[in-house]
Amino acid sequence: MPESPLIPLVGTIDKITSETAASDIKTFQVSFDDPAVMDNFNYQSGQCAMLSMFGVGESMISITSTPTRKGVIEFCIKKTGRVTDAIHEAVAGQKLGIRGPYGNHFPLEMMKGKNLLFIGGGFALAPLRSLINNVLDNRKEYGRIDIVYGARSPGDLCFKYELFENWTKYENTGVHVTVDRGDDKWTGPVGFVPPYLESLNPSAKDSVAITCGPPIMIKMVLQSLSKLGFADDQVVTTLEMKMQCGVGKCGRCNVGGKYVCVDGPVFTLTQLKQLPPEF
Amino acid sequence: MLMTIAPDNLKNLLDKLARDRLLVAPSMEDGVTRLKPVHSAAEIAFDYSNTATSIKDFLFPQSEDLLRFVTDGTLSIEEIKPERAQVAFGLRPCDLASVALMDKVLLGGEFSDAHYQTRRNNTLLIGLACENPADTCFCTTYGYNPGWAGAADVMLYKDGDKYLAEALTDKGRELVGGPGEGLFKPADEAAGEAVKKAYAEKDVPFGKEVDVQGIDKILDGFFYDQYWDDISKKCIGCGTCTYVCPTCHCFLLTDEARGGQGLRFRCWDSCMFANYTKMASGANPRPTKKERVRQRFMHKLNYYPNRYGGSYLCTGCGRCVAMCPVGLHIAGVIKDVKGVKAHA
Amino acid sequence: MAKPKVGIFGLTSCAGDQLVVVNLEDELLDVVGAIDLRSFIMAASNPVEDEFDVALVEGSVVTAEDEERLREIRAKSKLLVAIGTCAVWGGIPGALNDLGRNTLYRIVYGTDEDLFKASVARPLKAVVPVDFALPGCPIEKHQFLEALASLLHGDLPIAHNTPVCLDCRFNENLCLLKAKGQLCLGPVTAGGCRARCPSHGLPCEGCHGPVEEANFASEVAILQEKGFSRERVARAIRNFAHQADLARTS
Repeated sequence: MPESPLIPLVGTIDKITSETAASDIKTFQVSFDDPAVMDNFNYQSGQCAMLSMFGVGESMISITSTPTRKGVIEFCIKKTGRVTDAIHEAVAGQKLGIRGPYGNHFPLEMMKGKNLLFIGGGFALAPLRSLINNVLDNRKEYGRIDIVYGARSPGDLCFKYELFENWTKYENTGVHVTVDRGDDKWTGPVGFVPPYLESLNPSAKDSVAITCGPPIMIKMVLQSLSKLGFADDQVVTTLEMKMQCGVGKCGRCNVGGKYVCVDGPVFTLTQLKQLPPEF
Repeated sequence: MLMTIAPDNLKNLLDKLARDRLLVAPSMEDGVTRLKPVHSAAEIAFDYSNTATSIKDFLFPQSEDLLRFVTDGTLSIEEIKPERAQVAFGLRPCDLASVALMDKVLLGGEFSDAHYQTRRNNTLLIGLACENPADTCFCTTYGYNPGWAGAADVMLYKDGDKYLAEALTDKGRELVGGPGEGLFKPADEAAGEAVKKAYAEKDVPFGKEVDVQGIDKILDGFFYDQYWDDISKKCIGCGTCTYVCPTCHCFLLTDEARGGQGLRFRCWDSCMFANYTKMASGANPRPTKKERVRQRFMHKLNYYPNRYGGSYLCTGCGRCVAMCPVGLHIAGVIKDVKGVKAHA
Repeated sequence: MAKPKVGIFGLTSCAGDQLVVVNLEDELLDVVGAIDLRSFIMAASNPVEDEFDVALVEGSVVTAEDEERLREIRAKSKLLVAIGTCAVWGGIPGALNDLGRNTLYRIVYGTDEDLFKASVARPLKAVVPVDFALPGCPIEKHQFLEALASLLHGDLPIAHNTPVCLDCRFNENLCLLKAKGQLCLGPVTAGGCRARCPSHGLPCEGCHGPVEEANFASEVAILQEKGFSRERVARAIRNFAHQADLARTS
């Protein structure tokens, strides 16, 4: 094992699945080449890892697989900049560097026994998916579950298998999907996530809301949740910042005195409100 | 135990050390005294207030190789570790204090920075108390003083025609007993303590003007103040402050590759640059100079003490005071925030 | 992947930037081996000009022929890169744009007549969309190679967005502005040149044009404190980039 936390380990891309019609979002299943490392890689929902495309750079990506299903490590990546472009060009069997897991995780203990309201937008379903599958694998420990999700168009919806075929099969679990604009085959709701959420009128009693999405959506969702009666400590979200070291040394990802790479990315709304609005 | 060493013996010792280690010491070049590698004690300058650059250059260098990789065929990664043994001589109390502050960030927390740790282990720090603090020095603001030993392994105090010396760590004691054998003499304890006390109480005029008491609490409520809009108008975004500061440690990781193999290294970066927090999507939480100027001073005076408890991320070395082309520096900001207008 | 088709051109220019490419010496063979160089009149005859993946254009747009040529190159190229401060900012030919062509003709040739059917010197972006700008007078060899390496990798290069001051810091130069009170434009000029001039004791003239977010107000204020008149400073700032003017300061 390398001594420095900045040195990645060798991994392989085992499987690549395209999530969207435009193929700008893909899910990569990876594994560490060293079986001992693979066996000992323990993570929790909400954590991330640094993926290296050597010669290009590194990117911090949230782990979208669930720790309840051992042996499968998945990352869902959107083609955005140099590193993610390079990852998108990779083929199954290609090597990459991996180091992690980093960051804190979703507060499962706080969620036990409660009704859960997941709200995701677009590509940000990726970190939520880990948590949703995690929770569903231990279904009895939680109350009613509602998953509210929206994307720009039907072609932009991610994890369609889970949304339409898998999650709908669970007891006392509702999946509510909307798109900003439909197409000729779409028969579901059309509209943005925040008003759609309000129209579903979920109860805030004994509930926890967990939301991930683009900043504009989050802002409006938080307002909607407040209207619906959710207190700050009942709302959990994740932050994104540019990162380099991922281990709290390089100083880049700070929001006030917190480093998103080690103190986040998961924050309750109560914690978020104590931070300066620089994210 | 206090000792003394004659200047000639000190030079002999440094020459001895330079034979099998890298000797870094204050040396004059183009009219500027810098902390730089020297081959012998003859190149060392003894008449200076402080060096233009700090010990940071040698514990946390401008650029540092981390690993080699080969992507031809398969992928192999080889960690690169710094190996060179170093001796840094002539370090002032402000720089010695800065090392402890850097240790908290780079070695503390869940992860320890192995490269910095290796250099810390491989470097012998020999401090030299300040005879003539400059008019930009304000170490006393933070509770340090011209005799502060901080992270020094051996601390020296000029005392007339000789130096008072104290070995403060195992490494320091090894130096005195090993290469230094025969060169040090025991000192009169009482006289030695008096010398140390005189240095500790030496006057640092600028330090008296800058009062930092309770500024972290004041800054808790200062994020939205108009002050940052006003003060940032002067900033030219040159990054000089972060460059010369002994406690600035922001870095970036980057790869250089050619034909299937290459190198990943880290190098200094600055929160003052426009792209520092810009994400691939184009979003940037600090889009203008105002946010960045605020970030710099909040980090030094509020975020760091909140996170690591107690100390501020500044030792009053005064380099930013001397070097900022527009005079936008931390001493001025402290004075402003505490209500005394310092900036014209 | 096929080698990218590259063309290197000059409009009204001293050809200094093209000369940097020809003078690559150690790297020339590597560069030529990595690209399909179809048109580069300075180095080879018989240019082939059907289409280009990347066109590098030096010089400012002054004559009608320049403008036509530039539009032709733009139409045939996927990416257009402006090389040299003339192409990026207008350069020295643009320094006296405010006087107008007729006044310049009178001063130089003694007649008001539009001898060359020319306009004031304009940067490329005033005429066509430009994908990337690499300033310099002339361009720096290492910056050119880095930009080319990025392009070969399929990425648009990253523009240098720190001022010359940072380059001086890396060389640990004495600050000519602060310590010597010289008219140094380092703080408002795009760096990457490794502070070539200040490292030899010459204050920066601003030949790379303004840096992103250049704080002219602050620079003018410092220079006025050092005793330079506003007019003197304005002239210095406009030498290489006639648009980088005091209208930005307030």
